[in-house]
Amino acid sequence: MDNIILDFQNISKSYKSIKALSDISFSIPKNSIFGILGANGSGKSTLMKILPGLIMDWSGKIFYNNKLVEKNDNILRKDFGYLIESPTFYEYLSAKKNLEILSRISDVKENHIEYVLDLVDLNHRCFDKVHEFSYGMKQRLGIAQALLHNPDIIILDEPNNGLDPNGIHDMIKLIKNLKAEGKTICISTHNLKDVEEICTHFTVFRKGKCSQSKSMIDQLKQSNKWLINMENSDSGISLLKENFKILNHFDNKILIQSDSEITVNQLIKILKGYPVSKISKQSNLIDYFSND
Amino acid sequence: MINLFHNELIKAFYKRRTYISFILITFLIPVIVYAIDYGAISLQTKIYGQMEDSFIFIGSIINGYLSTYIIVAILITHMPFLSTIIPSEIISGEYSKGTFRLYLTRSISRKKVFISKLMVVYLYTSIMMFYFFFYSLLVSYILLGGGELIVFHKGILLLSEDDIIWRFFLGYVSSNLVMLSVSSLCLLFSSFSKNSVTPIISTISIVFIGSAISFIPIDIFEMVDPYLFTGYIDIFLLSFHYPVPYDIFGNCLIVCSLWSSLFVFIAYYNFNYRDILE
Repeated sequence: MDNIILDFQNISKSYKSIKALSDISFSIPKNSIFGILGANGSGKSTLMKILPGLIMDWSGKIFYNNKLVEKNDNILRKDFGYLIESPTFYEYLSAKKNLEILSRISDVKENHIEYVLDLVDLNHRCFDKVHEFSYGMKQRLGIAQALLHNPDIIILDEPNNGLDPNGIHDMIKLIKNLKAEGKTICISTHNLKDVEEICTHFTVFRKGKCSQSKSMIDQLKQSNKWLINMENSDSGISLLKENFKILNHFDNKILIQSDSEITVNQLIKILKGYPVSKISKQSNLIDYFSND
Repeated sequence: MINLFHNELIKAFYKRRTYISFILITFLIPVIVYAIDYGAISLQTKIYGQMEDSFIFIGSIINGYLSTYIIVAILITHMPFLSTIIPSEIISGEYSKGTFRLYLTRSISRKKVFISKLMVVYLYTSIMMFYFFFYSLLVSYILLGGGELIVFHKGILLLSEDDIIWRFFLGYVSSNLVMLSVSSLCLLFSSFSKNSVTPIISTISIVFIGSAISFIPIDIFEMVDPYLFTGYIDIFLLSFHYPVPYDIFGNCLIVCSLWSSLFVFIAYYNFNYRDILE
């Protein structure tokens, strides 16, 4: 339990007859990048709105650093930074003015505004009004406001939404940097690739219920999928077909699945003499997600 | 609290719509004053009509004070509309644009946020009403000069120049009380609404119904009218009576304060416990 920073126990929330969350229980380890994976309408955003007190009427218990916190407890806003759903700002104000408004109620020094704007590469546009920003820029500004008061836990709802490939790359880099700084990051997403790429732990939401939180390493261990990069891959495919199920074959990459557990050394042995440049284990998150 | 109030001021006063009422008053008043000056003789004839048989008027009775009196008396019934501009949007606007997701996830209490919004609403209404009264007086005085004010109350009432300004001030304070009730009502609707148009329509509808009750001479309406804040919209006129009916001003203070408190309390309760889902 020492390693757990946030623990949800039996969280339930209904909107009239619709049960948005039904006895949700899972925990988030300290200094992890925790992914909440789920389809649209699975209850991810509802849970994220419960934390800062945007939703007041819910049942269950939340433990923060092993201490039970009251509903709408200020600590869940003081130590947490949030970007919930699409980024929203006072569009008629500049990016800097928006952050100044938030800094005034977060006890933040003005030079920290420049720091977070630098972090998301928006310092050069800080005096532009937010309505002139693209969706991706607003998303980056959303990250900046979440980081403004230097929170310990950062809650990001679909952080890659609306970002171009470069933006996604920068976002992933930023999230990894935050983890390196010792922060805990919780992201909600319906994109499996996001979770595979950056998350250390995850849970899956489905129709208001969730799975136990799981480490990505454990998930990877259970996988029997391998991606093999091989020059002239056509030559090796017949050999691989004899031993494995070929899931995909594109460019010089072959995605295989074995029936039983197999080690990388065993694979190297099988492929001895073939021009293999890289072998990597692939997560079977999609199977887990669809079978959960 | 000061920081929250500062934020609300920035949010309100950086919006263009905040200035609509001030721009309207700024341009409309000189036009009316000029029109009063231009049509002074015909206006004077209309005002005193038959009394010319009993009185001899030397010079003009049209001056800055009478002009202000006429302007305020005519326009005061339209001020509820202008006093809804800020409160209609101050809560509903943040719901609809989703900015509460940004603002209320900081370490501040909803109670303080609500109080800061209420302060801005009251400040805006009071400033707007002050501007309306005293800009009218200033422009009228500059263009038409001073003098004695002649008004109707139990016949003709002649008020000397040094007996006028405080009456305008009393008129401002009492009218402002009524407008604060209108603003509070609009704030209440704003706390329930997801757009800024519904609170304006709802508030103006209620003011309209209340005004109808005041003007329709039916016993039951006359009985309930003193208990409605809408019954005091034209209380400004009573400031120019002799003697000033302070008991009615006292009633106005109590009735408007009670209604405002009720509206604010319901708005606060709703704002404090409402889920932010938008």
